Amino acid sequence: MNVLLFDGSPKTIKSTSSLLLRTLEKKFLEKGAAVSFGNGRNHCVQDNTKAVQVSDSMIIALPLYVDGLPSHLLACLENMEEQLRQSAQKATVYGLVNCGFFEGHQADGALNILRLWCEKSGLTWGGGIGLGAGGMLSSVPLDNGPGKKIGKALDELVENGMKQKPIENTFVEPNFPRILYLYAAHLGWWRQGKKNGLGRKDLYKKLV
Amino acid sequence: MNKTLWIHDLTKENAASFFDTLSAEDKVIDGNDVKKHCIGCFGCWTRTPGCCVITDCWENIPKSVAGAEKVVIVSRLVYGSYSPTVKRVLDRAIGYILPFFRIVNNEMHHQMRYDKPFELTVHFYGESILDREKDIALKLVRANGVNMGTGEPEVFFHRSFNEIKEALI
Repeated sequence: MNVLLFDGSPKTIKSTSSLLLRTLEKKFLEKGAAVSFGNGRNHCVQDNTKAVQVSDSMIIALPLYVDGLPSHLLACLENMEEQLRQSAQKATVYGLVNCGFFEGHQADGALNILRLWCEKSGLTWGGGIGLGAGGMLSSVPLDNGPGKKIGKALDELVENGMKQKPIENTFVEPNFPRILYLYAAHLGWWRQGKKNGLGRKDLYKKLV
Repeated sequence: MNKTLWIHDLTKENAASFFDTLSAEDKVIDGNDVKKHCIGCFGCWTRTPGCCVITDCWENIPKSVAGAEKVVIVSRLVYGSYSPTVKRVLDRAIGYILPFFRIVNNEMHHQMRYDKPFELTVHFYGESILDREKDIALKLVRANGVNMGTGEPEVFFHRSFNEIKEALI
């Protein structure tokens, strides 16, 4: 079983998408899969297309950007479409969309965009997961506590990914009060601003 | 304050035939000229609030959005989404809103940086648009409208740029 873990984040380091893929990597390796990585920042269409063509399952992990896919990932996928469409494809593709909003279902649109790409590229859509509260996913273990539901969703993805079986789109958030996530997020933004020499009021700056 | 901000992915030829009749108050962003995509650094929220940190003369896209009464997007429809070209502009516009959250209709969304909302209109085009692509696109634009604090956006679908021209002239 060849699994391609495809990073759709524009960040080169420390992205939630890459963290989730590393978690999936461990789970797939434990199941005996051969795992390879790709990313949407790679401009080489040949590399990306070939990686998809040799895979049985592909998981695309990405952050929700302006309610959709990041532009560089959209470009990458569109660039691959024609080459993929020209021959029969064996890969089943799953989406894993994390969003900063608390509600995982806000990723539904992004999953639908990925599904359409699969249809137009001759790939099989396997379903996906929309993860809410993306801002805290790097801070919680994903196998117990607040992250337990997310860990379970990832396990189901791996279980089905190993058999190229489809999953129902699943939307999940950490088991954590939404209001506390909101306060924690705001505190996080204030802290980041402070590191950059900005006070709280500075973050609200209007330019017009 | 610009009257209308146009964001498009048209060829230079098509753009020239359409935008040369615009008012001096209007502004046009050709997505093909915006070469660099958002890098996800959140600098437009925590380093240079309201302004993109990438200094390639497109760092003020958020300010351009803020200065508009209307934003009109003309985009190829790609998998139910904006084209990568137009999306590149929109991704670099997130400095228009704040990083902080608010609850709207029992959902978490971004707070507004500016008090005055703009009207959003989107013209998608493509030779053969599937009904389910339209559904995805409608939901996407509505979600954008909520996050950018616009009223109910208007969304139109056309088979070609010429149809858009006929509709708008």
